[in-house]
Amino acid sequence: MNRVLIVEDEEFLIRALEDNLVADGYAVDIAKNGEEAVRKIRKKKPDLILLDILMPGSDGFYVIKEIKRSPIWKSIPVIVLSNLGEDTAIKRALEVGADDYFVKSQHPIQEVIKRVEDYLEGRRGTKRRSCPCYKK
Amino acid sequence: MKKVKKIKQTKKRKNEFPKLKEAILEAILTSVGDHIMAVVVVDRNGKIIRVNKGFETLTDWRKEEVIGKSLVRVIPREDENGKRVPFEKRILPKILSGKILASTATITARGIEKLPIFYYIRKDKSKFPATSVINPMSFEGKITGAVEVFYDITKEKELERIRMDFLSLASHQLRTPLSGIKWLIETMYRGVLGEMTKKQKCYLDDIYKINEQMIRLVYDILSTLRLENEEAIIKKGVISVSSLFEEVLTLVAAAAKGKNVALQNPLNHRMLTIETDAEILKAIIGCFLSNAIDYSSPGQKVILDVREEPGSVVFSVRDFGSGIPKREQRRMFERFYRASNAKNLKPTGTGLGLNIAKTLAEKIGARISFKSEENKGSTFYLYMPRVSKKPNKGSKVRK
Repeated sequence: MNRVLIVEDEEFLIRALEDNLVADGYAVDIAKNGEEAVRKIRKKKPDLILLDILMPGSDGFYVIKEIKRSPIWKSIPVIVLSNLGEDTAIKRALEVGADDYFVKSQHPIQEVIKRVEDYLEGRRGTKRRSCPCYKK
Repeated sequence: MKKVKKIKQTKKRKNEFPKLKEAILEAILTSVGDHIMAVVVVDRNGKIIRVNKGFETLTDWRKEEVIGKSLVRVIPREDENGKRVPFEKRILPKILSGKILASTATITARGIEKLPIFYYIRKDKSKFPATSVINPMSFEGKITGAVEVFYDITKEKELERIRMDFLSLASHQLRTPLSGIKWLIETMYRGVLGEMTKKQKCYLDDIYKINEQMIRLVYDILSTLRLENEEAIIKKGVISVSSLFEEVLTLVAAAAKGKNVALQNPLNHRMLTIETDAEILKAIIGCFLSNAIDYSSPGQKVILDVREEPGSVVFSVRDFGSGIPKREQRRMFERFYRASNAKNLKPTGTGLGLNIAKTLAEKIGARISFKSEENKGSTFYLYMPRVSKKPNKGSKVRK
């Protein structure tokens, strides 16, 4: 069973993501800030991470850096789910190593779940790429 | 005796006149020169002959230290990226040699933000953002020098930064609850929480639609504010019109299919290329197409075309739908304005699309116009200045 770590501070977004992922047969872990995310990854390595950027404490950029600098973790696909829609935030996330970037309000949740499936079934490489999905 | 006295008085006045003129000039220079505006006068060789108090405050140079020195050397200039502007590339020498008549900058209704921004280096090597206007001084048809007025825009820059930070935060905070509603409803639609009754689904449909409307509104308002702030950076490239059409038609294909509107593209000018920002061009044509689809009736067609005119490439999107009432046509590009018939056809529109398209067009040096007749349809045009007809060898064509 593939394990997905949701790093998000908003309860209602966690619930929506968790319900969809569990319905599709994934195991789900939850972290509500950057430090907790790193602790959870250390405890049990996830197969994919859904990551918010703006969170109390350490933010999503910190988590990406921690993951991508570790030889054991760097292959874990990181999909950023944020409502920061500026080009600068997107560029920064992709530069530090995020694999994908979704502006949450602009995409149906099914699109995110489909992307998770694509990564985990190997239909999508985990190499960093420019992401067109933030466009309206 | 009286006559002699009068002559003496006239002589005295004549002697005093240059002094009076000098005093007036000094008073003008002092009064315009507060701490943010510098005035500097140079002779025809570019040597400083006069500065005001503002110049001293802004540059840290004292009047006595700079008189007789070359202005371009006293205050070096850097461009927005921090690169030193070579002396010969400065506008002042060009004005003094008569190559250009005045600095191209003009103060528009939108203020000094429209002027080119650069940095001036102070005596202590620190720098400040500035913008300037330079005008030549002429006497009997010959250029005898020039006057440069420059402003310190540190405060404006800071305000711009605060505004952008606020925008970023506001957009995040507004989008978060909206995305929450969206995703929770989508999860319910999926049935993971059990089946809903028809009536429950009907209510949920309404909430979903309202939420989508809010998401769109927030997106459009923030886009407008961002454009005002000129945050969008133009990324020019040579793009092929046929691939541009392909991409933009794909974007609206679902909406057209949903409404049973046929998208037509006569496929003229397949080889045509244009140098501009692809994303901006796509956004403008996408806006025209979305509107055309929204205001057409099922079974009608929408035609996307392009033609060449001397010096420009004209894109057009034609529909045969509701059209725009004549008396309302002049208001179509106003922010939030929606034609009376549009409100009935598409209640969820924001009235910002064409306003954004117009601002975007201005950013890439293009122009928008339209022809429309109520109940017969509309054609929207985008006039793009043409740079290249065919890609040059070695230049990249974006596909």
